[in-house]
Amino acid sequence: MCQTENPVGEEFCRLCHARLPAGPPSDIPSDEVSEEVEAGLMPDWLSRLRQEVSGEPSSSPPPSRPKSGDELEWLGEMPQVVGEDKGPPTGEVPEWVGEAPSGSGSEEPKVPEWLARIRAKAHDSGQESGIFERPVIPGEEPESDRQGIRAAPSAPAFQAARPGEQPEPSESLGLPDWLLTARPDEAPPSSSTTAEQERPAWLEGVSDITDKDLPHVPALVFDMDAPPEEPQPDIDLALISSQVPDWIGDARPAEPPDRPQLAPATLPSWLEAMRPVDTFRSVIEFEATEDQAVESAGPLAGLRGVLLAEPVVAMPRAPSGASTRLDVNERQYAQAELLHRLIEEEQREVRPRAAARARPGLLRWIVGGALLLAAGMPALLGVPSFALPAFAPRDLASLVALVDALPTDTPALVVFDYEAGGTGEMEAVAGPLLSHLMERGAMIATLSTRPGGSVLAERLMATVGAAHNYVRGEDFVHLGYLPGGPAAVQLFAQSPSSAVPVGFLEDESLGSVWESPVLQGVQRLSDFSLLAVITSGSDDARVWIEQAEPQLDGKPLVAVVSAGSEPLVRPYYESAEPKIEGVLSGLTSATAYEQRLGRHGLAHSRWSSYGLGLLVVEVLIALGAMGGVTALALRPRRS
Amino acid sequence: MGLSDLLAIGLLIAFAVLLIVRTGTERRWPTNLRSLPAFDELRRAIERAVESGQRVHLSLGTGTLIGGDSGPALAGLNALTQTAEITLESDRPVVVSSGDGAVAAASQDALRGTLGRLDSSDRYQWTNARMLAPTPFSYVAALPGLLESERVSVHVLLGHFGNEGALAADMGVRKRAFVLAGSDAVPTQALFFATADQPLIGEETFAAGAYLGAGGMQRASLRVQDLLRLALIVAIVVGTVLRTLGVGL
Amino acid sequence: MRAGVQLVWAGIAIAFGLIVLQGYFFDLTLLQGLRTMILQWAVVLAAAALLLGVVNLLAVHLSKVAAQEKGWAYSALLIGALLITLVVGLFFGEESPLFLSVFQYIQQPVESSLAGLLAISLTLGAVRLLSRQRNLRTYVFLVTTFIVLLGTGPWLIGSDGELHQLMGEARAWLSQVWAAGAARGLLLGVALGATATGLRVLLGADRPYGD
Repeated sequence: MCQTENPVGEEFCRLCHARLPAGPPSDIPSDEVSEEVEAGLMPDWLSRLRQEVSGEPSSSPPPSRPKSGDELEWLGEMPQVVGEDKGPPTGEVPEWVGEAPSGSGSEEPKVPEWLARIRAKAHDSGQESGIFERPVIPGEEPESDRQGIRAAPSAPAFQAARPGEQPEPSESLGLPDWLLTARPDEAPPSSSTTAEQERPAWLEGVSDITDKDLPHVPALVFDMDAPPEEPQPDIDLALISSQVPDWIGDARPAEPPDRPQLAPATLPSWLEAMRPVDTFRSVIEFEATEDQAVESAGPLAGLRGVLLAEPVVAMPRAPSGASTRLDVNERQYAQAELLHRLIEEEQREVRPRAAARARPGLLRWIVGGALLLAAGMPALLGVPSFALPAFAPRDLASLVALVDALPTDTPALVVFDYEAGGTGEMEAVAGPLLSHLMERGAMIATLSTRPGGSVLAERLMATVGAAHNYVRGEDFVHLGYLPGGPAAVQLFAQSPSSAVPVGFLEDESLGSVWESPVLQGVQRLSDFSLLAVITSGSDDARVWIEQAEPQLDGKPLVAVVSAGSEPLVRPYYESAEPKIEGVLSGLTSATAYEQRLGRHGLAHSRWSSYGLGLLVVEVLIALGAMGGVTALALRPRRS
Repeated sequence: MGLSDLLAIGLLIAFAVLLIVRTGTERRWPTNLRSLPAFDELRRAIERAVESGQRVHLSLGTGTLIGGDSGPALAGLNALTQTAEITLESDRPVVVSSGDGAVAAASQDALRGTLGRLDSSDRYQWTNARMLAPTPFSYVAALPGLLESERVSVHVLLGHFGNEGALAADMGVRKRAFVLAGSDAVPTQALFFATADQPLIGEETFAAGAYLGAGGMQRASLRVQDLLRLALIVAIVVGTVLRTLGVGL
Repeated sequence: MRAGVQLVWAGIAIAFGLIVLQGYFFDLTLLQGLRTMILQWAVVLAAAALLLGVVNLLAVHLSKVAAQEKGWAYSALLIGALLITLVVGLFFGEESPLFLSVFQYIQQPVESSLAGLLAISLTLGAVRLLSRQRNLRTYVFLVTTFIVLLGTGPWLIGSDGELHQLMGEARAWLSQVWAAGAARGLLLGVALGATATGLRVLLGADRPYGD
C-alpha cells in the first residue's frame, strides 16, 4: 500500500490501484490498533483479512487480478520493523525463512513462537487452511482441490524444513503461482480432507504457548461458512515483519519446548534484494495518516504520506551486492602496461631546441666583425704581418720542374671548373701556375664545364696575363662552355673539336677558335702539352682524372684545388700508379710557389689576412669550446 | 675491353641480380633497418610540422640530372615521394626546391604523380616545386626568402651540395627549423656536421627513401649494398695484404 | 590505359639507360654513336629544362608581386634584374663587355660575399658545436679542426720553428691518412648508393620521371 490519501468511498487506490479497505477494523481493540498504528505495520492486506474474519461486508469490488509484475508488490510493501525487540537486526534472517533446502536436513528450522501459536490456533479452530497451511508431510501430495494459499513445495526459501528437496527455479522467485495470484479475499474452499491433520513434529509442543507477548494474528479465513474467529488480542502484529504465506508451515520440524525467544523475522537479504526499488531500506516509521504531513508544494501538494526527498536522498544506502574489488587478469595487466609504456614514450619525445642563452644575432655579429677585422687590418693597415712560409711543400718542386720542362710549341689546356663564389681562393691558388706558364711562354687554352667558368677564365687570364703581355687570340683562347658533365668530358677527350665547336670571345677575324694559331695542330686531347684542372671541389677533379686521363697518352695532368679538396685528390698523386703529376692546393702552396717564382701575386697579398683570419678562428673556436665545457660543468646534474 | 671493364660489368650484373632476388624475398625475410636517429627525428619533426600547420621544405640540391651528381638528386626525389605522402594531411604540404631546371621539372612530376596516386590531385600546386636559381650560391641566396615566406619548420637537404650546402643548412638553423642535411660530397658532409641538426654521413642520403617508408626494393637495395660493401672490404683487406707481401695484381 | 602509358615511359627510360651504360663498356661503333646522340639529346633537354626552371622562377615571383605577399619587393627586384640581364644578353650578346660587366661586377662579388659568409657560418657553427651536442664525435671534430688550422696557416710568432713544422706534419698525417682513408670509405659507400639508385631506375622500380 502506498499510503496515498484516497477519497472516501473509493474502492481502489488511485495511485497503486490496490484495493482499499472497506472500513476501519472494529473487531480489533483500539489499543491494539493504536499499537499497530504506532508501529506503522498495518498492511492493508491485513486489514482486509481482518475484515473478512470479522465478517464485515465489503462494498469494494474484488480487486483486479494483479498484473504481471505486480504480483510481488506485496513483498515490497512489507515494512521493516525497527527496534530492539521488534525483530531481528538488518540482515539477519531467521533460519526457517532464510535457509534454502540443502538436502541435508540436518538443521532444524526454528519457528518463532508467535508463528507457532498462530498455527496452533488455526489448527485448533479446525480450519484446514489458514495463513499457514498445514504442513505437508514428506511424501504426502498436496490436495489438488484446495484453493487459496496453498503450500508450495517448490518454494525454495520458505521450505527450509523440507530436507532433501531442491527448490524449483521459478521466475517468480520460487513462489508458487497460487501465491502470486492469490486474492486475500478469496476464501479457499473448505477442504474435504480430514479436519484433523497430522500435526508436524515441529509444531508439537507449541500449542500450549499462551504467552501473551506473542503477536496475535487473526487467521486467514478460507471457509466462508465457518464462523469467523475472533481475533486474538494478545498477538502483537508489530512483530510480524513479513507476510508469511501459509505454505511456510510445511514440514517444519518440531520446535524444542525450550526454544529460546527469537527476534522477530525480517526480510531475508535475497528478498530484500528483490525489491523493485533501489536497495533502500527505509528506517522511517510510518506515521498515522492523520499525523502525516501534508505536502505543500509541487505536484503532490495536498497529499499526505508523501515521501520526503531529502531524507530519502540523504539516507545512507545499503551497499549493493556487487563487489568493489577490481579483478585484473594477466592480459589486462599486460595491456595496461603497454598503454603506460606508450604514454611514457610520448613524454620522452625529444623536445624542440631551446633558445640559446646568447642572442644568435649578437654572436654572429661578433664572429663576423672579428673575421672582417682580421681580413681587413693587414690589407688596409699592413699590420700585423705574418712571415712568409720558410719551407715549401714537398710536391711543389716536382710541379715547378714539370712546368719548366713543358714544350712551348703546343698549348696547355687549363680547365676552370669553379664557381664565382670560389674566386677568392682559386684565383690566388691558380695565379702562380698561370704566371709560371706565361713566363715559359706557353700558349694556353681554357675550358669550363660550368656556364660561368669561361667568364672567370677570362677574368683571371686578363689579370695574370696583363703582367706578361698575353693577348687573347694570340697567346690564349677560350674554348668556352662544355655541357654534359662526365660524358661530355669523355667526348671532349676523344674529340675536342667536335665536343666544343664554338669558343668564347672568339676573334671573328680568325674564324673558329680551332683555327687560331694557339690550337694549331690540336686534334686530340693528347695534343695538349699539359692538362691543368682548377677546381674548388674534388668531384670535378675526379671527373677529369677518371674520364680524361686515359686519353692523355702520358701527358701530365695537374690538379689545382682548394685546401679542402686536397685529401680526396692527393691519393691520385701518391698512388703507386699516379694519375696526376702535380698537386697545388691551398694558399700556403701558392705563396710558396710565388716565392719560388720571385713574384708577389695574389697569394702574397692575402697571406697576412689569411694568417690573422685563421688565428681569429682558432681563438673563437677555443673560446666556444671552453664555454661549452664550462656550461657542462656548471649545469646541475640530473638525478 | 679490359679487365676493369669486365669486372665492372660483372659487378653491375651481380648487383642487379642480387637486387631482384632480395626484393623477391623481402616479404618473407623483411630487412630490419638499423635505427638512424636522423630519420627518426625527421619523422617526428614532420609530424610536428603537420600538426602545427607549418611547412616541410625539401631541397634537392644544386646538382643536375645528367652527370655524377644525379644520384643524390634521384635519392632526393624518392624522399620527396615519401614526404609528400606524409605531409598530405597537412594544410601546408611539402615544398621542394632545387638549383637545376631538370631536377625542378622532375620534382614537379614526382609531386604531381604522388598526389594523383593518393587521389589528391587538387592539392597540387605547381609553385610547390620550383627552381630557386641556376647557380649554387645564388640558390643559397634565395633560400631565406623561401624559408620565411613558406613558414618552414623542417628544412631537409637531400641532394648534391658543394660548400654552399653549409650556408643552406645554417640558414635553416637561423630560422630555428629542424635541419637534416645530406650530400654525396664528402667535404660537404663534414660541413653539415658542424651546421646541421642531423647530418647524414656517407650513403645515408641514398637510404632516405627506405627509411621514410618506400617500397620493398628500396629496403632490399640497402641490404644488397651492405653485402657488396662487405665484399669490397674483404677485397681491400686481401689486396692490402697481398701488396704488403709483394704480390702484385 | 594509364598503366600502359606508364609502362611505355618506363620502357623508354630503361632502354636509353641501358644503351648509354653499355656504351661505356662495349666499343661498338653503333653503340657509341647511339650513346653520343642520346647524350647530346640530354644536354639539349637539360638546357631546355633550365629555361623551364627560369620560367618557373619568374612565375613564382610574379605571383608574389601580384599578391603583395611579404617580401614582394625582393621578388620585384629579382624580376627586374632578370629582365635587364635578359635584355642585355639578347640585344648586346653574351660576349659584350656590358654583359660581362654585369657578371664581373655584380654576380661575382655577390657570390664571393656569400662564400665569405660561409666562413662566418662555419666558424659560428664550430663555436657553438660543443654547446649543441656533446659527444665523442664532437670532441674529436674540434681537436682535429684545431690541429689542421694550426698546421695550415702561418703563426704570428713565426713559422720557422720546429713546433710549426710538427703541426704541419700532424696536419698532413691527419688529412692524408685519416681523412683521406675515411673519405675513400665514404666515397665507396656513396658509389654503391648511387649505383643502387641508378639500377633501380634501370629496373623500373624507381620512376623519377613521374607517372
